[in-house]
Amino acid sequence: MKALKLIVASALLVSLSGVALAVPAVNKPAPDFTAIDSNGKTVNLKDFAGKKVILEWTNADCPFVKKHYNSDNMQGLQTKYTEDDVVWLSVISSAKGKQGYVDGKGANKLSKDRGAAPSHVLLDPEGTIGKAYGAKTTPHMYIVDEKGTLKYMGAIDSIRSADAADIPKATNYVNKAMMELAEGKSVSEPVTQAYGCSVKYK
Amino acid sequence: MRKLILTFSAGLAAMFSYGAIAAATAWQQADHIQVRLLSNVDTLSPDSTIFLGLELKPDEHWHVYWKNPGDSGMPIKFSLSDTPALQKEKLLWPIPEKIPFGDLTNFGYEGQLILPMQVKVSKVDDTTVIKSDASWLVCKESCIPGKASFEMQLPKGQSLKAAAEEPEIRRFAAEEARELPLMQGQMHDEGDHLSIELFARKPVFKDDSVIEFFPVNESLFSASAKAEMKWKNNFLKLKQKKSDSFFSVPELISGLLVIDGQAWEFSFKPSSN
Repeated sequence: MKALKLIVASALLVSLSGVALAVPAVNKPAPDFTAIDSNGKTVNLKDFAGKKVILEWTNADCPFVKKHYNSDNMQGLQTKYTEDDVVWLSVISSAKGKQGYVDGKGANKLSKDRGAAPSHVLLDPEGTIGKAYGAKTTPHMYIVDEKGTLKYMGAIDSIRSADAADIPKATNYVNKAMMELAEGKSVSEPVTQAYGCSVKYK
Repeated sequence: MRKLILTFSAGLAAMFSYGAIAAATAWQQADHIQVRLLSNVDTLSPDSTIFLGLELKPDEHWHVYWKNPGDSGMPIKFSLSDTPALQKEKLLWPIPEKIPFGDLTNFGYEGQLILPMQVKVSKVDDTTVIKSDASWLVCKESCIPGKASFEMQLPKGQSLKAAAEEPEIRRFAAEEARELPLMQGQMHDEGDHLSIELFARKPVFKDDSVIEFFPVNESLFSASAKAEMKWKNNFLKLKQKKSDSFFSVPELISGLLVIDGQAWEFSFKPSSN
């Protein structure tokens, strides 16, 4: 009986810590989600099993996002990887009425205006996906491999600034991780501190 | 008439030179913040040490960031540019505040701030042009990055002459952390938490001390978590939740302990055990 109690207690502890730790861990399964994209289509992470998935948290009015879009840096990455059969998901977790919030139509117009080339733009005004991934900033980048394992989370690059002139001098962590994965290596810097504007959750 | 013109132009010249040669530049207005460059001296002499200061005045309730900004944000950058006669030695960071924002906590400053820079002066011309660049992120609910460039001209003097700005720069420079000499420092990975044990060379931890901890390393501790601390004489143990972006223990651990208002900075290399 005593042993049983112990087991129950430890099971409870595990589930409690599961709730408290909203932050995913690298080399563990990436949090699954179901989302509506900007065209009203339902998108599930599991739909992309067998492909690499890159998630990008974005907010078009954030100066750090502008740094990477006005310089064509983000669009360049989107084009490069989607042409290579990688799924690119841009996620907008800004709540209604907050900076960066758009509806589906607005998101499509935005993609057209800034020449963005993601596979899908996911609308997350409730912040459900953002909080499951522990997304803190825009941009905040994640890489999920073919088996659904989280391989990278953090900053887009190594120079924390809002100045586009720093992009060529910086190490792009997404490129670095993708290259290491392509070579069958483990990601050498799998977690970095993301920089940017805070995600405008509700 | 001619005499009048002469007098007038002499007055103008005096005004211009007064404007150009001064230990404070004009304020520059950026979004939600004003900035200017200060010097603690009115004149420069060779082989001396001076203090420049970046003065920032964010709007009310807006803030800028310490060298470790905490859970988000970006540190202030302040450097010399294209001024070969002067070498930046270090920035003297005043004691930061903990600024909560939603679930996150940042380390930074609200209100007026002067960030002093210790500068070595090697050689000087009759007039030295000091050029400096600064950038920052100023935040309330949203954040706005900004940058500014400054130019200040200082004449050569027989010796350093203290400027009117000297006491203000000193007041902020006085908050710079003193080095806390250690006999030993250890870090332990305790799953969700990390703990640090310090054995200082001096008994700086008094029983009734008020101690506050700021990690200097980024991606180490969660800035919004509270440090559990115990101390006695020269021993202190602290335990705090890991940062969400923690991945591995860095080669050098540094932290700031504010003990009864005095800042001490410690550094150690964690052993491999």
